[in-house]
Amino acid sequence: MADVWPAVVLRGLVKRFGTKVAVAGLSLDVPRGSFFGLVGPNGAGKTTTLRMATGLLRPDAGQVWVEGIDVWADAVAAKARIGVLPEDLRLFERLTGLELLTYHGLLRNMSPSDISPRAAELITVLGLGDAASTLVVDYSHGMRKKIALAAALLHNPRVLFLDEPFEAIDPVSARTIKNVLERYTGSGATVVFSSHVMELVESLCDRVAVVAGGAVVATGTVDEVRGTGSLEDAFVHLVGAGQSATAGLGWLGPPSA
Amino acid sequence: MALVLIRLKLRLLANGLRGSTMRAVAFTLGCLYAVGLATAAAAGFLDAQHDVTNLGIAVELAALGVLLGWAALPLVGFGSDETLDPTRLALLPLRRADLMAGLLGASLIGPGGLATAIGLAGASVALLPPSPGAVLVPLAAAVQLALFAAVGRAVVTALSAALRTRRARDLRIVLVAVVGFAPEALRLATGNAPLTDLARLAHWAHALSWFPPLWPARAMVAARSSHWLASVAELLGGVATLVLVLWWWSRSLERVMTTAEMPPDATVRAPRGSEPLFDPALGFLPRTRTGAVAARELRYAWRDPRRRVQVVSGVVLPFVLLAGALGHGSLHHHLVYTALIVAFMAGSNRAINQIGLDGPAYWVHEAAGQDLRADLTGKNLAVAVVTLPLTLGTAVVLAALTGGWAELAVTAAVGAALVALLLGVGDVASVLLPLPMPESAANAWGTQSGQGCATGLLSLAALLVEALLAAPMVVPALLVGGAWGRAAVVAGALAYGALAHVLGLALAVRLGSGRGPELLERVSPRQVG
Repeated sequence: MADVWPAVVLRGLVKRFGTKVAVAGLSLDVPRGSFFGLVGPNGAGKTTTLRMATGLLRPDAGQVWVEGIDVWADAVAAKARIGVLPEDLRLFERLTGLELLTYHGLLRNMSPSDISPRAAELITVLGLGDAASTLVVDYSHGMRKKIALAAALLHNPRVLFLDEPFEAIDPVSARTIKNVLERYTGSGATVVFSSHVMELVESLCDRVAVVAGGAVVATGTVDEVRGTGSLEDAFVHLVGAGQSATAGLGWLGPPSA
Repeated sequence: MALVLIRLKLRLLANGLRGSTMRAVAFTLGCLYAVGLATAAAAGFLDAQHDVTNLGIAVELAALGVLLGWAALPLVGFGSDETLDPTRLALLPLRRADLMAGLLGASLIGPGGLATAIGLAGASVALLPPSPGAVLVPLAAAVQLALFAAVGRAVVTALSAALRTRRARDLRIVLVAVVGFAPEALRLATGNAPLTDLARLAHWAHALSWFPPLWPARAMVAARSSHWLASVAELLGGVATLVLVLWWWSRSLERVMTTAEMPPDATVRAPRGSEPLFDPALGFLPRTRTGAVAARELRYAWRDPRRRVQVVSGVVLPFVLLAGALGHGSLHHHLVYTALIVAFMAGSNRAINQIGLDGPAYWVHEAAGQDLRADLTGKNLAVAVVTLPLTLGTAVVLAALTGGWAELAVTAAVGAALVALLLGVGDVASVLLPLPMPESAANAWGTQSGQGCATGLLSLAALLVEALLAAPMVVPALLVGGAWGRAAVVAGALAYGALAHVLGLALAVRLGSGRGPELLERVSPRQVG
């Protein structure tokens, strides 16, 4: 029987910023080869969780295993298997696209003979061919996401963590990114991404976890979490946002004759 | 409507100070400083009430200085309100007149406006003539105040209309830094020529006060000397200038609010060789993590405006010092040793906050698995590649000029050792006290009230430590003579410098290992509200 250890295991993650508790005992299993969606309202702790899972932010409590390796005990080994696309996209902007990819590759001690062909292919597939020789500081938002995705995929990680990858992205770039990600999971790798956009999560993911108030409130396949309605309804219900008051606002609209 | 904008400014000011006590303290100190300066000036004017000629000169010079301040300080980032950026108000249905009145009024609120008002009030009282023409002076003062504010706003708006491309903004950062250097550089080069001769100043004052925005000040001075016709003419001229400046400002506002930012000009760098990152000039670097970090740092030294400023300051200032020294002293052999100052100044400021300079992008290094030794070695390599040839080159030039060839060997060795030592100390400082570089691209010095203090203190502390550690190496070099003595110094210095570097690097790696996420947190700038 094949080893079906989950690709990512989070247990009891806690993070406080001063008096504010961002993540309060979050536990999660992400099965291997799944396209896993992490959804939740603003401030639910998704970004903080992803940063703790990828070794960029130290948790106050709890543990993270990626592909069976404890991320905080053996950081270097774990990070070799992880690719990250963070939300705020702080890249080394004064490099061209190609230079950036080369840099990321060399940081991971890849050999230049591996980096060149992979970088060239990634640039072609993501449609960045014209911009490969332009400084990243001059890229549009969509292009930045794409080059950051290329950098995250360059070393062929087993698990890819994406924080709001489709935020403010035009549909064409979004389609390209989706195709690349689907090809990636098709090869057996795992993708964990956070998003607000329910339609996207419904269309791409096979499993989803709803996070609110720093903890997981529901998890399972998309169908299980969705129940009979749409994912958006389920989400709104789980997160506890009731019917918004529609009383008032009488002055809104064209002036009465 | 104008009042609304003024209230907006006040509210933004208050909220901005609420964010951090550091900033509130710095702001209060700034206000006190400005008001204090203005009160001192006003008192000075009142004191000199009866010495009409000198008072006139003083007022005109002060007006010139204040005008330059209003025009130039917002560019450097002091007192510039990004919060009252007209593009933020572009969507509101504001009449142009309302907008301008509001922005003008808002610009007078704050330490700058207050200080200028106090200074002008003092000057008015001092210059009040004894006869019916007395009304001219306060009128002129009011027009002058309006002109100061209008020129300030007009210059900032015109510039922001011009700075629509990323390249122009980068250039501005570098230019501002260079301009910031100019007075200091001039002083070092000319060696503190005293400017105490007031009569000579008079000549300058009169020449410069012909500049139209200063005519109301001239009007005030003329009124005091009872030159009524001249005074009225200059006052009317001042009003006309005010109208002109407002018209110019209005046109710039139009341009800023209705034209879009130009699409980023693609700085296409033709792929010149088969190797990105290393071609064309950096082929000598190893194709490893260390080499990659060094290559990036070297490319950034030119491509990133903030680092360009650092490089400029590290490289140019020592040369200015040198020019000054050469100009004044005789060409003694010992002058070759001043190349060591070049090494010290060029190396020190680039070694201190190496990780902080990466800023939030440091997450890339952390996500690839922390390897502090490779990263720091790469950064050190980049600094050495620039500093060592510079030092050696300076030493050779000095040796050629002064004939101090014997001193050259010692200087070269001690210089190299000094750079190694500076890098070792810098490594430890970078890991122990990383400081975030604020995001504001407008301010090349990367200072934000309390932040500036921290950076300054760190630099000072580091300089002290470096000087102390370098002394055992440099002092013997300066004192010793004779071939054997020099050989001993060369060997000793090289060993000492190498040891200091190795120990510093090892200590830095020990201190930083496993603390990557904490380092990342320290170098990502806090939300500046």
